[in-house]
Amino acid sequence: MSDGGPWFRLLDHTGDMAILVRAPDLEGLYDGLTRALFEVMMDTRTIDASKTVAVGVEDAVDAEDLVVRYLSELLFLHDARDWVFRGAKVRRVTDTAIQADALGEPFDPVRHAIDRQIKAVTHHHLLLSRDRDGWTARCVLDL
Amino acid sequence: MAGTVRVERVDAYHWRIPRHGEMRVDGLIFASDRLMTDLRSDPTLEQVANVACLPGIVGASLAMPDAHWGYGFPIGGVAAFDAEEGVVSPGGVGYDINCGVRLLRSNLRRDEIAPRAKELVDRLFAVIPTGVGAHRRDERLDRRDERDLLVQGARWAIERGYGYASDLEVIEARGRIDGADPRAVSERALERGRAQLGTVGSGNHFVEVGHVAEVYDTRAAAAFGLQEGAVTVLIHSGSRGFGHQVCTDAVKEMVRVAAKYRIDLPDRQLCCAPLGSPEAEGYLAAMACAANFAFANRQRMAHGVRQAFESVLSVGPRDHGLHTVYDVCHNIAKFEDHEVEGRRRRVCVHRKGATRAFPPHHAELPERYRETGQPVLIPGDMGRYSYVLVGAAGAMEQSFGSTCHGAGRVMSRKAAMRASKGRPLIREMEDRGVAIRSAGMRTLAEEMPEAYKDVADVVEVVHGAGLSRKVARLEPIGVIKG
Repeated sequence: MSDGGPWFRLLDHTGDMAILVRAPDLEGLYDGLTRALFEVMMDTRTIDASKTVAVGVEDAVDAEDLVVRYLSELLFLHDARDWVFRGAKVRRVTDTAIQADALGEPFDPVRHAIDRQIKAVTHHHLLLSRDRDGWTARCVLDL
Repeated sequence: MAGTVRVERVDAYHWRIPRHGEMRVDGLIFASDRLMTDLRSDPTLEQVANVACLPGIVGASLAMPDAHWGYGFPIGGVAAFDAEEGVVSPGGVGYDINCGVRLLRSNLRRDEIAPRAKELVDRLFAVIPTGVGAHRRDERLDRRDERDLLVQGARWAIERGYGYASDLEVIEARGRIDGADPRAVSERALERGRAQLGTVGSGNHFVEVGHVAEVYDTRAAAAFGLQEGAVTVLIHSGSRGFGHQVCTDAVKEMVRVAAKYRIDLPDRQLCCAPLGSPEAEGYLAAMACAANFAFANRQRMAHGVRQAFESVLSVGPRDHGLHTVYDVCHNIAKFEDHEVEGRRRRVCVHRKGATRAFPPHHAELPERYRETGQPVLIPGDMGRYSYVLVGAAGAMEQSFGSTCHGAGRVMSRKAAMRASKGRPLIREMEDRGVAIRSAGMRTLAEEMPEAYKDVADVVEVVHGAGLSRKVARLEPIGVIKG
């Protein structure tokens, strides 16, 4: 992604995989984290982002924990309720809480090919940092 | 535990990380010179050292020869914690709670099956859902059934006609971990599990039809019902989304209570709670539910395997003789009694990517394996071979009754994708005599044989170190993957 929006990469890890996301602000970071999580599983360009699902976390321990908790919410919506997402519009985010609308649609076996499973989002080697260009997050996923 | 970890070679199969810094015990790695080269190339050794820092760890923080970089604990790690002073760590069990392997033997010969391998694999693919988020459209557990299943494990499936009562005797813990309490499980986990019973999942999970290519220990092989040339089936899967959610819930809780118990974590993914605390009790009750889900899952799939053979070959159960040899967990925490520094102690053994390997005469073994020891099932990559081992006395002396669990990845998924680009993987497998069906081409590429260590190298180490002994080598005929 470009134009001042979030940027992400998928990183190598022997058994698993990690996502690295950069964005100018925290709202953009969570938008990018949403996209990157689903990019690990599928080609997110095939997702129509016309529907929204409210995603909220209110009681994270700190900002790093919030990243894991937020992505775990998305994973639950995917695995249990068949949603796929390609971004998120963040309504409110603090160090320990987030309210967002995940943008996507229900999984459609005709248009969507999911070819990697993420079991979980881990705290291992988690990175969340801010510099003058914006925010960076790195998160290792258990595949 | 930052910085480079110093490791000393003890002998041909043992390496030691001397206790230093915050480590409470040494690290002990079972590896050959060749495998140690792989282990040095990523943070596996640092992870072994980190686990050694956890409260109440006894003996040593162990890594098996198939160990590789995990998240928190290394994959292929074993750690035992004192039942009174130690901790339980959900990350030390992993997200796929009771991921494990079941082996079926048969009366069928390779020559009979090989010409029909493709047909058989197609049928298996049709009756056992595979792949990402595979759900059963045909079977959905209602609330009451799911709760019963979580308490009863494999027996639940057998009582509903999925398999034989005789299967139970040859499943680790008889297919049911005690202490399961569905009240300790979140609604989310229950929701995720409801339509996933009897499904393989994706990644390195599979159902593989093979044959006994070579027997190393005729006595043990005979006790396990394995003869050279006979057809076998391996099932590798776990507790699916149910277990993933149980672990996710527990990690969330334990990250929260780390400060309360003043546990200093070198890596937050090692979060844990003192044994006996409400958080530990809650996790163990939920973990037992997930373990029982996995036992029922493999039981349900074994039934699907029998159905597929019966329908393709037009044979009955007496003809095919597809009986369970054994079913092992390789992601689990269990209370066991072990001798530590000359004293018998009750410990909570975490096996994350490691298999229990009890020797002959151990009280927990079924009668039929009392003289031989516990069968140990070690799948290799999808193109080469797998091994059947048997537990040995050395495991009780060195590794809390544990041994390796598989080949262990050596190539990242992206590297495997690059290496397989443009290669006709399905045809390559067929040229090796292996029929294959996979839900996704990406899985196939990422699971290519070269992405894994040669399981023979791994098995040589555990055999040489005396943790378990080689009984037979199995070679694949056909496989279904997620």
